[in-house]
Amino acid sequence: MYKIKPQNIILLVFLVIVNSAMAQEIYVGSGFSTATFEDYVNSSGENTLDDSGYSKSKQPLFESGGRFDIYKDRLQVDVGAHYNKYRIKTSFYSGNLRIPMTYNLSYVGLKAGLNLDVIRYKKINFQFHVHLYNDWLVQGTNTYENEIIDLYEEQTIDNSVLGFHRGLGLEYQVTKKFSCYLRYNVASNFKEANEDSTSGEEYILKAKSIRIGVSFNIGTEKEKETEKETEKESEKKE
Amino acid sequence: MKFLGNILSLLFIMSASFIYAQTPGFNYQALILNNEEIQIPGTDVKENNVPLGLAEVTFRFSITNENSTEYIEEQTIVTDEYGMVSLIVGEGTPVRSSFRDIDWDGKLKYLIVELDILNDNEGFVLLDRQRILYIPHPSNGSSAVFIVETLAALTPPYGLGDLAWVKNYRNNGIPTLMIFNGADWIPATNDSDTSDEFGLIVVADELERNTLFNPVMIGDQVWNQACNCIEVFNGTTWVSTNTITTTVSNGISLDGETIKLGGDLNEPTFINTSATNTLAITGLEESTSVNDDVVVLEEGTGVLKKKSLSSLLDRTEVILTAVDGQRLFPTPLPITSVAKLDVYRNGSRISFIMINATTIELEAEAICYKGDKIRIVQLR
Repeated sequence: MYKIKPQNIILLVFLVIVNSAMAQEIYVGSGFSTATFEDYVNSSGENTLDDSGYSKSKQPLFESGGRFDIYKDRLQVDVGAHYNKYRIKTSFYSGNLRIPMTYNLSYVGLKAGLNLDVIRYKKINFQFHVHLYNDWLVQGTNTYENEIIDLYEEQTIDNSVLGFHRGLGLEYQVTKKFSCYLRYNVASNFKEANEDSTSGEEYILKAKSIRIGVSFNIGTEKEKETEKETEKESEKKE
Repeated sequence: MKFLGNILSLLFIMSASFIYAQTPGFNYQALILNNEEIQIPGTDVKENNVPLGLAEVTFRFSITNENSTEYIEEQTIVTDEYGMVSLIVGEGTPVRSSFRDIDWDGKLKYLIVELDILNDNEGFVLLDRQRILYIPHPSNGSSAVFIVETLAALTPPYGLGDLAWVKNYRNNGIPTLMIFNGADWIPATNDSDTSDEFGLIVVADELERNTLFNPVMIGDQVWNQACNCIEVFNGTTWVSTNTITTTVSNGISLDGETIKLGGDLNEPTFINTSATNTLAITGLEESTSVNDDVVVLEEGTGVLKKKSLSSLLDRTEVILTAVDGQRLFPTPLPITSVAKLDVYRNGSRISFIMINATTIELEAEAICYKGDKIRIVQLR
């Protein structure tokens, strides 16, 4: 968990604005994600959670952003925003009794990172990407037995988490202006002491997702002029 | 997963029925809750919010009387998934004496429950201490138990110690447990033995009381011989029920616990009478002195005042010597009423008429001769 810092937000907002203005591609995608609490330890250094045997619930996500090239069309800066819902099924122990509980969490976030085309084969690009992100909790509940805890109202879970994505992707270029992509993504926040709840408590909110989406190559004015000049030169040669 | 902390029993239900089968005993049920906070991401699980399930626990039951411990046993059991335990006191492993040796003599007994959570290494902790309420039951196994509507429905023969649950005792619809004492059926709870479970516990002083009632529960009562009073524990302290202080005033006095008539009046006091509800004082002595006072009522207010008797009898008397044929005589005081005048001639009262404010005339038949003594008595 990470305490929110104003400079992080400013940086992400700045990158989104700059990238939107300079973007050569914009993309829109959706998908599903699963999440778990990893490496949980309470203030006594014990792990009181047990999620073994529980299925991981897939919840929807949405993302959008823009990319622009910074090195020979292979390395791109990727800045965007996303909305994630997580349903985490786990349990705790009272005595030897295992009591199941379910977290329902919704986050909106901003991300900024790099997208690298590792392999290109005809119209298919095999990509690796990594992002820094900051998510803000917009809704959250924890349910066990007959108890429903509103985590957002009680502010007993981190309302702002900083972490990083990493993942792989495939992009298929349908036309010069239009592509579709498939990405596998792993996100985890930085593990630091939880400052919104019990002191000394630590955990990682880890999410895995599969995303599909489309991207549009909108180019820049300079590129468009270059293309026009190229076309004219080609006509003259003919 | 390490078990967190102690537990708490919030509810226990102890059956009052004894089981006289292979093993005597009584039921004990308890809900065991986890009384320590469990940390989870976000809001932690509060204490006493979830049951302590599937945990191995050991109960230690002690049955004591007012002076000593009569029986101790231990039972180890695993709570169910709802944190419940249900067992029979009397079926455990005896630590002291045996359940059959308990003398159910009708005297007050206590059940002390201690609990040991085997995983928390904290040993036994006191869970509860309460009085044992039980129904007297034939112990020799030969007595009978009847359930009837009224006592009249019972038919002899009866044996000493027979019990009857009379559903409509005294025809008032109230059920009563009766016991046959060898001669009569008597209500089992209708005794005056203050040392049994239905009477108050008697202690010599506060020290004995505090020792006996430890821990003390709200509603506990005791007869404290030191204050000669009933004391009740109100949850905070012992309070005496003899807290009513009687004060008297306004003509009433207090002599010990006796209220007496007599004393100073502290305020104007009225006694209202009527034609029916009159005020009378009988048995008064006869007054023999003209110096005594009489009681009079102040006009308009009715306030009692005294007046000297002599002031009511203020009179003037004059004796005149008559001449032959004299009939007119002066009065010693101005005449306000002829009723206040009496005239005597030579000791005999005679009639007269008023001539003017200072003169009277004797009746015509009262002829005076020289030397007759005319005495005129006149009231003011």
